[in-house]
Amino acid sequence: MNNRIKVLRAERDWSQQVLADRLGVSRQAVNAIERRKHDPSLQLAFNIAAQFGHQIEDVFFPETQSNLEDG
Amino acid sequence: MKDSTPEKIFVKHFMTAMLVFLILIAVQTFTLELLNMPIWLQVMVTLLPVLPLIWAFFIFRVQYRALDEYMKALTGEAFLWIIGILCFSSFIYGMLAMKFAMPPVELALITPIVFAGHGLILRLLIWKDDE
Repeated sequence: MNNRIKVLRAERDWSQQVLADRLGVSRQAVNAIERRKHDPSLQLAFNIAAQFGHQIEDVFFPETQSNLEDG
Repeated sequence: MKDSTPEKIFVKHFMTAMLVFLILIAVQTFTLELLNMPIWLQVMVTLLPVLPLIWAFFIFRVQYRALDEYMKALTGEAFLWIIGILCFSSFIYGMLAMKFAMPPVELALITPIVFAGHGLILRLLIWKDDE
C-alpha cells in the first residue's frame, strides 16, 4: 500500500518521532509504514490520516493506483 | 522503540529479575556447597533461580502486549527465527547423535540463548527495516 506520509510530514515539518509521538507508536513503525515495509491496520491508518487532517484515501492508496499515476 | 516510560519500566523490571536470578544462583551454589540438606530441599534450592526467569517471562509478556502493531510483528518474527534456529539445531544435533559420538550439550543454556538470541534478531530486523 502506497502513501503520502513523507510529503505530508515534510509540509508540517514533523520528524518521524513527532508523528510517532502523536500517534502513540514507535518511530520505527512510522518509518516502516512510510517506506511501505509495513501495512498499517485500518485503525492506525485512520489515525494517521486524522493527524494530517485528511481522509484516509488522501493519505493511503493502492500500489496499482500509484503505478497508474506514475505512468 | 521509542524511549518511553513503559520502556524504562520494562528495562527496570527485567534487570531486577536478572539481578534476583544472579543472587539466587549465588545462594544456590553456596547453600548446596556449605549446607547438608535433605534431597527434597536440595532440589528446591537448585530450582530457585527458575522463579525470576518465570517472572521475567511475565514482564516480557506485559511489554509485548503494550507494543504497537509493527513492533509486535517484528517481535513475533524474531521469535519465529529463534524457534526455527533452535528446532533445526536440536534436530541436526539429534540426527548426528544417532550416528556419531557427540559432545554433551548443556540444556540450561537454552533459555539464555533464546532470550539473548531473540533480542539480537529483533535488533537486526529493526536495523534491516530502518536502514
